[in-house]
Amino acid sequence: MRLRRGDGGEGAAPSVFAVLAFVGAAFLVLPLAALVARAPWTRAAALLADADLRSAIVLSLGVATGATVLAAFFGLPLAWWLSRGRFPLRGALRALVTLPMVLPPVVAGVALLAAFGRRGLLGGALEAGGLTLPFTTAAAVLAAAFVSAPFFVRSAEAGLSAVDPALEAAAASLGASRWRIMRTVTLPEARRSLTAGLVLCWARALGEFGATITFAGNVRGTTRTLPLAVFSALQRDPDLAVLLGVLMLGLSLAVLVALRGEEVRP
Amino acid sequence: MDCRRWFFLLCMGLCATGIAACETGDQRARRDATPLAGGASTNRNRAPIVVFAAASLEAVFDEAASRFAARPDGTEVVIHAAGSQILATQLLEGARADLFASADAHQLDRVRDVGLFVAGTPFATNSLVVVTPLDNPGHVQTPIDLARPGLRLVLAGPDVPAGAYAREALQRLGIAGAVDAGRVSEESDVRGVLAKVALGEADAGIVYRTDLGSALADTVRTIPLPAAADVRATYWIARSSDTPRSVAADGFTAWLLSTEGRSLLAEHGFSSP
Amino acid sequence: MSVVRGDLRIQLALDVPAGSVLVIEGANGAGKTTLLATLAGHIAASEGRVQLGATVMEDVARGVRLPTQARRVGVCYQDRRLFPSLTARDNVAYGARSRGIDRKAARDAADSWLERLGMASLAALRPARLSAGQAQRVALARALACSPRWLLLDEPLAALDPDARAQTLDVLVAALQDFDGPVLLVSHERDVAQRLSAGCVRMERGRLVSVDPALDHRARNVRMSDDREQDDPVRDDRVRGVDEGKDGDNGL
Repeated sequence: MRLRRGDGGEGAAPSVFAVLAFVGAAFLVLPLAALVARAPWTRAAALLADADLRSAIVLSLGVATGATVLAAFFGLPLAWWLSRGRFPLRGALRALVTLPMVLPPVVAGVALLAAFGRRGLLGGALEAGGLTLPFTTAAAVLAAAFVSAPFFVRSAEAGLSAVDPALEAAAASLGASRWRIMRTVTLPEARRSLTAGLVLCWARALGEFGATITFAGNVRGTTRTLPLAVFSALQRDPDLAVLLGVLMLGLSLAVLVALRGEEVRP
Repeated sequence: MDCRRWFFLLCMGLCATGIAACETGDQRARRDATPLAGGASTNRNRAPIVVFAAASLEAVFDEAASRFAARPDGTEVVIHAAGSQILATQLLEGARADLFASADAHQLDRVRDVGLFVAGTPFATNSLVVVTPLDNPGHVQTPIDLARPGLRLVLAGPDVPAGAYAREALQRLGIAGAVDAGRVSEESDVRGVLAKVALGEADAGIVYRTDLGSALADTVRTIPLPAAADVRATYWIARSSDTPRSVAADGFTAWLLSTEGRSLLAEHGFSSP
Repeated sequence: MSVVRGDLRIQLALDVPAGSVLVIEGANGAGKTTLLATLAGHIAASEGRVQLGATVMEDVARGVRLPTQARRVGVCYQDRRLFPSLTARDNVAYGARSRGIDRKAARDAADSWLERLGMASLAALRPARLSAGQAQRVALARALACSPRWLLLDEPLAALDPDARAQTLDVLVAALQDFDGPVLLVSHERDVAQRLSAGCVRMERGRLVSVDPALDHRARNVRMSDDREQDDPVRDDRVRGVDEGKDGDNGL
């Protein structure tokens, strides 16, 4: 028989913990419950029928997906390199590519302006090539990718590092090329972390606000994603903002459910 | 496995802080928490009065506050500046202020209609100008050029008084259709418009003439609007209907309308109504 | 050939003729598995040469090192190393697929190997659902099925229950009779060497300590080897690991 923690009371928490835990849980749950409670359900249909809102939803899904695709396309090789590469300052590089994850998003937006803005580091070169990023959907995608890609890279790196090199060696002994080893052994072995990374990345991209409004602006139908629409709606019609908030809450919940099968399980 | 769980928890935590940071977005809106808490306990006469002021009034009201406080009959004044539409929303959501100085009548009406504020007084007017970056990348020579396709125009949102006035000006110019094409980036207050133009990210924007007194003014080029499109923005100030500081609040309003107040407003480029 | 791996230093010379089997015995930590990993190309030798027939797999002095993929070696690992995301059938078919054989043909060949090893009914299962003994047989089938030129088998009969062991040993004997390349087999079970009529050497702390007298000219300790070993003309289809390093400076 397996002894469960707490069976004999040895691992039981001090009772003050119960109180603190309750307060903590209430603090986290109450605002969300209040959001749902306040949602103007009777006006929901009318509010959601708004064409601008639908364009914000479509745009948001597109931007988040685009950012995730970008993050995966460049992030997987980067994660590979971070997990397998042997080069000086690897730890420093890892810290640097993680930084956007903890950076205030508005700072990320300013940084993007400094790099890709019209007067940014590469702005002149981009403009010469006929490409002006600010106030375009591409800028919204970049902003979202900048803040969300680290979630994928770090998760993928953890997954790739956990793949048993002995399996890859075995595949090599069977004549598999590097690409084939990656495709048939490494990536399937790291599948859970990769999926979790993609979902987290997508969720973060979907919620992106600060970098987007700073770098990409707030252009209806072009860069006004759902969080920006919430922000704009709050100034005009708080009911709409609440309804959009509930919508995003639902999406976030869906993300958690999607992750449950992959990563939350110990 | 443990390692991955920790990483996951870290991710979720950061996700949450990221989202939290996002949702409060406008740092200025964040500031309001403090005066609100103070505003609720204003029984003491020495407590400051709280003035919600349109973003374009921030500089002049900061100075007005210090001058008013220095007077023998004065009181300390706390200024909370943001887009008038944000202030109105905050007031409707329960924020407490003794005075509300709105950049247009509409936002004041939103809080008056529900009885939160008493009838207001117009105390200043302003006018609009077109601004471009110094190097004028969009080659904007006259306001009509704003209608050119492909031009990156920044305006305050349609609910922001500055945005509403700007749209009215464009309508008078006969080019209102051009800005409805979904190519305009909308800022939540007029200062954001000036910042985007000053940064060189936008080709042009429309701001208040008085905004050009700010530090960013040297980094933009100004194009006046023709007389036909010269929309006059009128600022209103009103007192909360249930403030315990009505005397002090009315004192501040009276001071604004006094010779001294008017000359300060004039120094900052505002005209009298 | 010599390899340094942590505290372990392996120094030995082996010469296994084509078509013959050399059984290596030794206690845990003697360096048997490290020896196989070096021959397979997973670990770089620090000195010496590995050669199969005319093909130099590794020659430290000349900077030659063939990647594992190019060594055409069939390895049955002690820890089996089955690919968890593939079925038993696809594990066995992996080598053929890697060499460009189409899926159908590779799977048919895999099925016939699995059938010989009594695993036909389990071909569609993934390794996680196999017992240790079943997984062991899949690993052996995978090594045999990849059309190798030589074989490295590390305890291929471990973890098998007596019935399966007898059957598997029969299959192994039959398969190795057909096999015309050299075979190195790590095992500490005497009957395996007998059944395979193989020579037997014993390793201890990286060295050969007891050598079947009949093998004396083919496998020896560095100290026993003479310079003739290095000057030997290349003989076809033998795997040779020759130590060319300095003598006696090992840390053990």
